[in-house]
Amino acid sequence: ADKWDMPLAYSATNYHSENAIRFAAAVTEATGGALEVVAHPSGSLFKGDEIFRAVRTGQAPIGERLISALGNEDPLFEIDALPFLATSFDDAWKLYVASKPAMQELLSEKGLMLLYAVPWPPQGLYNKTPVASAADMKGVKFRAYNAATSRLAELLGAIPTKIEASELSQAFATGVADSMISSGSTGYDRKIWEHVKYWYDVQAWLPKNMVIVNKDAWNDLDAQTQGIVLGAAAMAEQAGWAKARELSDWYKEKLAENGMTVEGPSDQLKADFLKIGETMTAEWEAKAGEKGKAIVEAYRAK
Amino acid sequence: MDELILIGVFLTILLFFLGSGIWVGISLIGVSVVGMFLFTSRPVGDAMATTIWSASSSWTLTALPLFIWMGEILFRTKLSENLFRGLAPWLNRLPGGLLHVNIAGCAIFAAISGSSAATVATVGKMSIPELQRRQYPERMIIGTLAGAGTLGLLIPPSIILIIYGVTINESIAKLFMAGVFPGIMLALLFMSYVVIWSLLNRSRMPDPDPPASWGLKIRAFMELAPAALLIIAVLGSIYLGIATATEAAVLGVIGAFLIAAFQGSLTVESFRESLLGATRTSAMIALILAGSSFLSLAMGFTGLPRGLASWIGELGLSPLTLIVALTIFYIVLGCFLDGISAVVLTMAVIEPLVRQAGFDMIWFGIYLVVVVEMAQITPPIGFNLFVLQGMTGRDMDFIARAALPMFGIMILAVVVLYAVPEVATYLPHVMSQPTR
Amino acid sequence: MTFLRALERGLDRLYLLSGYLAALFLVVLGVLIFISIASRALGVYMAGLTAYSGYAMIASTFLAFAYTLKSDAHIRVELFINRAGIRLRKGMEIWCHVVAAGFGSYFAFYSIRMVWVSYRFQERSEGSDAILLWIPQLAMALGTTIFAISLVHSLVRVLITPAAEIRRAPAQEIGH
Ligand code: NA
Ligand code: NA
Repeated sequence: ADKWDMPLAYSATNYHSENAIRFAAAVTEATGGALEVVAHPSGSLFKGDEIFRAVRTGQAPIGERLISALGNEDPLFEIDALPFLATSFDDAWKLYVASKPAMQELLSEKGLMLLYAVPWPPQGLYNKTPVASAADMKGVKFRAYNAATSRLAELLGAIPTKIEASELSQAFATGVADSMISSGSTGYDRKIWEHVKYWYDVQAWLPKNMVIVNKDAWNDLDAQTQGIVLGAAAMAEQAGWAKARELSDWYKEKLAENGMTVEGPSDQLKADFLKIGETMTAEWEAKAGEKGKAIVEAYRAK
Repeated sequence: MDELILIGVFLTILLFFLGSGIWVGISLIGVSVVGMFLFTSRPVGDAMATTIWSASSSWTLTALPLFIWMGEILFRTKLSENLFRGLAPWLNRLPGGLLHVNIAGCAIFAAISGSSAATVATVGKMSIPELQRRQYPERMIIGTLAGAGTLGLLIPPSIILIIYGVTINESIAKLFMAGVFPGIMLALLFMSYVVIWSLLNRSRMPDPDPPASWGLKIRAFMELAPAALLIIAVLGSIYLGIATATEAAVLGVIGAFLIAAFQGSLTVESFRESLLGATRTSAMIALILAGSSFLSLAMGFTGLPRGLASWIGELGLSPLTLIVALTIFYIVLGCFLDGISAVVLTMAVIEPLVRQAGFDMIWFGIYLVVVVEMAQITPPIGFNLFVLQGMTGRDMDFIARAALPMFGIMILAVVVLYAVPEVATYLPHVMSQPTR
Repeated sequence: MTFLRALERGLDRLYLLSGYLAALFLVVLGVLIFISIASRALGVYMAGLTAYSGYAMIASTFLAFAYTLKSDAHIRVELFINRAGIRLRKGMEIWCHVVAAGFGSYFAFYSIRMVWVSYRFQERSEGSDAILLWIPQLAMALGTTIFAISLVHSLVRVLITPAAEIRRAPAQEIGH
């Protein structure tokens, strides 16, 4: 009997982790224990930024990672975090389908295999004051955690301010930050309504987590077991996307229930954001080269 | 039960390594290597390097060496005398005399520092020589310091409360507020113990200084100005949004340099000495943290903490027995793990259990901090003990025995916290009212 | 003999030098964190400061491992070893040093290997510093290697010192 330890970065009650835990249980059961997959949530085995390396080098045979966090490895990984390129679950799925072959090839070069990917709820705009257009973002202290969010702040005329995830609540409480783009789940998890009153459902992008396997570990499995794992992965992907859709509305309700103003963007704000999106997509294409360009074209053609 | 065998093996090897005199950090690495070879099929050395690299280069830890450096600078200023001249006239006539300065000093420094070891190192640096010079009993000097140093975790800012809040998705601002009253309560409990002990052991206490006049007391109060300014610089910068809790440590260093310059104790030699001293202490703590992060990984692979936690879950206990069981569980775990690892490794299983039993998660966070605080002063792995060993040169067993009464007081604090949960929940409750 | 003495002097200098380098990185750490506060106050985004602070910290602690060992500032439980007789004490010291040198070398070996793997995979940091990871990881490999050397050095010292002369090292005060 084989045992696969599966490091997860997010807490056990997060739906990505719940989904992965169910996937692990399904594989263990369907193989009759021949392959036991043990999920380790909350970064209790490897932390988020260690997981890609751990799976790649075989320290863990399987693991889950936020795809766009790997943008420094290859710009292709950033495609699902391009602002205002794919701004709904349907578009995000289309983008996923369009980018999947290139993604699989890229992972394969690194000795990895993609099992499934599940999106986070759409990214909305959190702000302490009402926002009717991009002009309202001028001079606002906007949370940046990587090059892309910093560039976004710059294009908005906001001031990018470096805040790590662990200091999010405190940063908003003390006025280190006034604004950020993040999913409804971040605001709910951090009880952001204590400090921030407005959330705009701009659906800036829908980043995904992916579950990857080390190819050596994969090749050690017999064909039957591989089939079972792939089947469980397909089910987990389907369940994960459905859950993300369901939760997206649930989070919006919860933010509103806790006294936040939850609205769609004004036409002006939408137009401003689309323009910024085009700029950043063009900048990304320059970085990602022909391969990247082809994916965006394929996605837009659908 | 498999878990029992695992515990037995880990414990035996670790105790043997530690007991035979192998350096603590190396012992932790050693037991993890052996444990992983025995119980997992993963590449041990590579996993070790990955984990230690990321744990030891983690941004949230950067406050630790800087706070230690701050302590080293302050040690070379007149702040030590300031603090004594400031607090002594006020606390001198209390039974137990200047031992209370240890506790009050730790409570004050806890409001700057997010960690327990840094609080002990910073306060102890100032108070150990002063109390020794006044011939206070060594055991009480060390005991009060070891115990009161844990306030660094309870009184905000607190690294462990941030980690707990992030792990279980609770408001960190509320957790910080919740820690204030229990922190003060624990400080008062420590002081009560000092009062009672000194009344029972009059012969072992030095003669108190003569009572101070009010004029002297007021002038003494002014001596506290540098310390107060430093707290304002660090805490104020956090609450005014100038710096995050992690970054504020560097303002403490700058503040300490300003105090040193103002008092004329800033020389090239004192700069060099403070820097090298901080480097050594940080390296000492870093080696232990490196070993401890690897032990967490090894235990995570064996599934030991999770197995134990789910075993407790299966027993189906009442809230009271659950808390008693959890307290024992964390005390045992805390003997071998640092508090942060203990929280991170077990919360996945403990959280649903505790929610199901109907506990307020803010309250539970404070309870948890007090319980894992105890881990700081229990042998064989207790950071406050290590720091004090480094500072006093006394045996580990002497230091651990000196800290034992404080361990009892923290158990008492848990009892009070269970009986009167409002100690923790009142402040965050009041705070959240107007936002609705 | 003169060669050995020169070697030993050279090694001691190596520990001291890496200790000074570590201290320098502590200053760098302070400066980086200060820049992080100042840049926010000025409304400037400086990419990668968080990561660089972390690298400075690991350099400032790991490079000082050997120097800290030589200063006798690493913590150990001396309860039993201090109560042992002269002969047993030497035996225990040998045991401690053999085990420590063993695991210390293991630690160093895999730290070097980590750098090698990062180099081979051209692994980049996931942070906004986007640096090739093997570069900052060199500090960990270098620090653990010098530490392993110092442990082996100490072991040899213990082996050639007559049992009667192995005494408890004087307690070091932190920051002494
Ligand atoms: Na604190
Ligand atoms: Na302990």
